[in-house]
Amino acid sequence: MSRAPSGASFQRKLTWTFLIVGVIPLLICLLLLLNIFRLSLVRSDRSSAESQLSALEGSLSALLSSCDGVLSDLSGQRLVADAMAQEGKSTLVYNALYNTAAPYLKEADFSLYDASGALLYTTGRGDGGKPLPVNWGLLWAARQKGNTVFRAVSPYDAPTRGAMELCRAITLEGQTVGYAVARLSEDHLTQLFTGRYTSGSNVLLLDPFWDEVYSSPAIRETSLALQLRSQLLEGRSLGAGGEEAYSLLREERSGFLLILQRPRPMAGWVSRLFSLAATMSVLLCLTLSLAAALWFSRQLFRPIRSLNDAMAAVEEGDLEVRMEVTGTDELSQLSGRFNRMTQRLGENLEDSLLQQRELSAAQVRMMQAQLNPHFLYNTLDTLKWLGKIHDAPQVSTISADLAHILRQSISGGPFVPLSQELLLLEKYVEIQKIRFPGKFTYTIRAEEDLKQALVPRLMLQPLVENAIIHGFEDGSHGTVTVSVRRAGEDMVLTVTDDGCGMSPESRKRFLSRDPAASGHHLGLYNVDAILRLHYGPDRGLRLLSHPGDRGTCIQAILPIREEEGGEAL
Amino acid sequence: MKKSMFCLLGALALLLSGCTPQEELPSLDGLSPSPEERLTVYTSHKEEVYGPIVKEFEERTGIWVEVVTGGTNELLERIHDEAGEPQCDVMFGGGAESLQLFEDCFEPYTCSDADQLKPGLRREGDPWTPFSSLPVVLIYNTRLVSSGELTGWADLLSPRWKGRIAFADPAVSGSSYTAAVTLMSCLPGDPWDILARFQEALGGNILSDSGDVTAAVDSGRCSVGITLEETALKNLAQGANIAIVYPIEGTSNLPDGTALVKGAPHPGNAKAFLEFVQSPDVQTLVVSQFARRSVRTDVADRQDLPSAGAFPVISYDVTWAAENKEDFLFRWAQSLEEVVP
Repeated sequence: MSRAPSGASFQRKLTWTFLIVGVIPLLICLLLLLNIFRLSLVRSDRSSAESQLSALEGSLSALLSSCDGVLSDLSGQRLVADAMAQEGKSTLVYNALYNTAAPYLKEADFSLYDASGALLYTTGRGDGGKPLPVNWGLLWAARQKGNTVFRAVSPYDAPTRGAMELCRAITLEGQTVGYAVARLSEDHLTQLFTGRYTSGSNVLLLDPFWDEVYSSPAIRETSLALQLRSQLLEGRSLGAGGEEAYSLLREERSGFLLILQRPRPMAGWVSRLFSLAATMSVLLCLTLSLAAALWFSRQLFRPIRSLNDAMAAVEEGDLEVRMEVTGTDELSQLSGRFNRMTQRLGENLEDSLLQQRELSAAQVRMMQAQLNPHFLYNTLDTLKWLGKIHDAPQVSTISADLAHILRQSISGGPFVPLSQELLLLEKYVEIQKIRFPGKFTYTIRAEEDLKQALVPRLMLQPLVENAIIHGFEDGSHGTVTVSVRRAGEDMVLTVTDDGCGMSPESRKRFLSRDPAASGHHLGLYNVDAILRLHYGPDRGLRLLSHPGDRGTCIQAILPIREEEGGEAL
Repeated sequence: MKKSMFCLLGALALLLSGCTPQEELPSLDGLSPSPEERLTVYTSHKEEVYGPIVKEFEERTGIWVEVVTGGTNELLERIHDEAGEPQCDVMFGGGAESLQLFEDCFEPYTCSDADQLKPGLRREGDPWTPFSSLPVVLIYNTRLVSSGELTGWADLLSPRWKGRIAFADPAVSGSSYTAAVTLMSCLPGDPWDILARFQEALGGNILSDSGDVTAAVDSGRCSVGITLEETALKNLAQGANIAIVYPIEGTSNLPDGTALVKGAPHPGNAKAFLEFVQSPDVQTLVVSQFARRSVRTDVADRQDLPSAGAFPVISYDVTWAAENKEDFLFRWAQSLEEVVP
């Protein structure tokens, strides 16, 4: 386990989470705002452009309609038509001209040309009396159309003449006798358009073929009309990608086109400002997210790391390690629990050590009880033969029994079949009968199918010895009964005597399970300890009170286990 | 960590820049002319010439004309290069010789009232139709040369004005080449011999631009010069100190032309344009506005000019001039080196 990567990954996850949670909503918000902002700007710009354009178109249309009216009026007057063919100028015609054109004298100049294109009468200053070509341009078109025609004044023809002309042929009995012309100069149009568009915008008036008729003063030198015309012919959108936006409106009477040029609503600096603000807020958000992620991961990671360290120490076997509990949050609770856990672990370890030590002590005591076996065998063998030689059968019997007991007690595993234990008990009882002739009788009742069940070695002999030695120490006679019976899954071993019984002090000492205090009953204590170690603390010996308050009854209840395949338990 | 941060920032920038709403541009539906209403004209004329004609053509026919301007040779080369997929409908302008050189690029077209053309201007099958005729004339400085002193081409070869003749380099100027060929054709004798004598008379004084000729004569740097009548008349109208002489041996009256491009995208409109520039109305304009001579018999030239019959006009061999141009320029450059060591 490596600590750094796990920490880093934890931190990274936290950082990413913070970033995503912080930045993405901000981005979406910014984009939405930007789009809404743009949309509203574009809309308001478009509607303002449209209203400006329609105002411009309205005024132009009104003026053209008025001029058209004057021209058709003039061409319809018999006086005028008659005067066209006459030599010399008539004040009557001038009167008619001025009267007809009176309301529009400031908005346009009105002139009358004769059939050869020579200028006869004009309300303007005139242009030096240069005749207009009859078979070219304006007059030709007026004659062809028979109605009012609208033309841009070609800059090649006469640079001073004006921007736009309206012309209507004057006919008399089917013959064209002259032409009525209304002329709008650049000044006239400037005067007409001024104040009808905002200061940043520009107006361009184009003829139906997109040639410039008029442009507002700011763009007069830019040949914008030419650019727009070539854009139109190449099929490109007007103003695509440029700094300016364009709106168009056609004046229906003349077919001329009004173009309003204005700065793009989302001009460069607004865009840049917005981008700057957006970038700043995103950066701020990034920084804050990172800082928060760092702070949180530190807050979480420090206690986790110390917990981690502490656990590593426990892993190494140090159960003394303790966490410092500083707060009340979940991590502090975790630290507290860890502390309690290690404490409990230490206690458990101590308990099991103690148990182990006790077991060892019991075994040592058992060993001490076993003398040097070879010496004893040899001696007992000698005794047996001496008894035979000297015809003392009791000596030889005791010697043979004792040798058997010794052999049984020091060879083999900790468990033996019940039958073996019972045989050993018989030998022991035989010895004791010789020692204390007539003092007790011994009976044994064991169920046959339990004979092969395993019991701890030498567990019955100390119980029987206790019954013989202590049960009849007052010199009385009695019976010692050993019974083994089945009780469900368990077998019950009972050793009963009808002797003097245990004194209450002895009973108390035994129940205290203190080896030092056991005194004369050390055998009982040992058996009890062995049973507990092998079968659990509740499987110790039980002292039962004998009926009639006489004698002692000691019982052990063991689970039935049989030897399997020669292997002990 | 850092890398992924950069990725994130990049994605962010992309988002910010990419998701901007498209502004609606004004719709051009119904404003832009359909292909049937279009015509593309390459012209080497000055704007004062093509401007009114193109405008009037548009007004009368409703056809939108797209004008591309440039030098004659530049435009002809371009038409030649575009031969596979012609962009241009009409070549408007350029001397008859130049147009003849690029015969392959053009479709001969005879206007409906070709019978009204002045005789000798166009042969049937020529790839162009004449627009205006431009006689080559001699000019002199009225202060340096007295009236009657300069009468014709022969006077130029005399040592009298050696080194004082204003003449543009024929290698550069098409009209100058026409003038040189005219000189060679008008005088008796071997043309190459006449060229050599002319070069001797020039004495190495060659102007780099045909526009400089009148200025050189007007300013007195040169006494006499060779130029087109149109140029001389324009300068005269501006008060230049010059007079015009129509050579007694005769002169060329070569037209400049209009030509229909072979495989033109809008052939109908192109033919309409060709008809239009040869119409009496335009020819009247040519006479009244441009100091040029009409190509029509029914349109009278300016009253103050000698009528076409008043001075002898030679028949200029356009084919010979076109075929021998390389040879001419080679000899020209060679003898120049001899004259100017």
